[in-house]
Amino acid sequence: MPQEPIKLPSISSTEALIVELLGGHERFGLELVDGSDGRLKRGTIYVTLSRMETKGFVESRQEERPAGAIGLPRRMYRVTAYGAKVHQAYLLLRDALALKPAEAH
Amino acid sequence: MPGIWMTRIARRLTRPDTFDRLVSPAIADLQLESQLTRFARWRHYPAIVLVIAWALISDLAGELPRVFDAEALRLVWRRAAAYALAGAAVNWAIYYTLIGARLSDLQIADTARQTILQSVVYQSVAPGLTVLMIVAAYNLKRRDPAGLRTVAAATIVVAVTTLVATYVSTLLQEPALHAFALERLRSGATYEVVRPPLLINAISMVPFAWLGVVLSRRRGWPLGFSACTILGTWVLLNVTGFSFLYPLARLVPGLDAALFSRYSVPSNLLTLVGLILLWRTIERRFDRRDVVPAR
Repeated sequence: MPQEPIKLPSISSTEALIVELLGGHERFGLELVDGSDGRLKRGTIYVTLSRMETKGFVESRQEERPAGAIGLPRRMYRVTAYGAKVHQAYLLLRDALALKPAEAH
Repeated sequence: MPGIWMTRIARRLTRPDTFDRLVSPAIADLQLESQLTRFARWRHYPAIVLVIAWALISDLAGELPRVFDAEALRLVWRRAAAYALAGAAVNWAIYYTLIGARLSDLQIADTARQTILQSVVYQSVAPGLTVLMIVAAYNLKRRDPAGLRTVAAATIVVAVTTLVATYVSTLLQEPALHAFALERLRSGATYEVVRPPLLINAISMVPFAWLGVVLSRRRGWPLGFSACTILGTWVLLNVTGFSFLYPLARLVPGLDAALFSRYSVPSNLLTLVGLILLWRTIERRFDRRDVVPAR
């Protein structure tokens, strides 16, 4: 009996970079842009983070603020266990594919 | 505090969950950055505009399946198509009668007359699509009172359809344009048929689609009455070639070029504004008791 095809999760290089930048910490969007040395752009970071949240790679919460604080609360992001696992698999695959054919044996 | 007006606009335009997930973090970061330097703050505005645009697109993309699901096809689009056909038929009759009368005055040969009158059928298509949008917008709104975004999604689809229809209609009308030019200039004369700028003409139809959205915010008979008034006036103005504007154009220097250029957008927009004002006056005068604002 044929097996059901497994849908593998996909992670782009930008998403992988965000996972790396987040590490084990909780950060907000602008912090990631500032820490990326120009590799992440302000216009796309929020869209990418939102997509990653839909995929389950990151989770977010609104920061707690003191009563009477002005302005919108920031959204803090952190990597999920699933996100870390996919990222690990991505790194393994990347390293494996970077090998020359002779080195692969 | 910067970003307050952007927050207000974005809240109105996007779904609450999209706002929280996508737009709010960007504005919150802007507000944080504004406390540091003024330059950084201005650098962040384009990013927010991009985020809002993305949020709108993703919201509209999410709405599209609802606009064309089985229930919508049965309850909304079938009815709208019937109205559109009726609208196109009425429009065709008006065009046929008025253009036929003008051709008699011009004493054009029978063969050319036949081709020109045949092209009237295609000319009736685009306003028919506008009727489709108005009725569809009304029914979509009635089905889902909160769905202004649904209406916007449908409007975009119909605007694209209008663009295609205008293109096809112009291609089909080309033989008529050639026949008319040949007939008027007689044999041996050179002539050029200037193809109307399709994209610009199609864009000039988009306000009508939006008019459908505006009308859909009202319920009851004023909707149909207003739509008929506006479309009827529009057809008549088009047939008369906006001749009422000629004296005005002669008085104001530069107005002639602005209004009667190859592009129909300036005159179309001017007339549209006039028609909307007319519609509002009619509504205020007669329909106040019947108007139930959208929930």
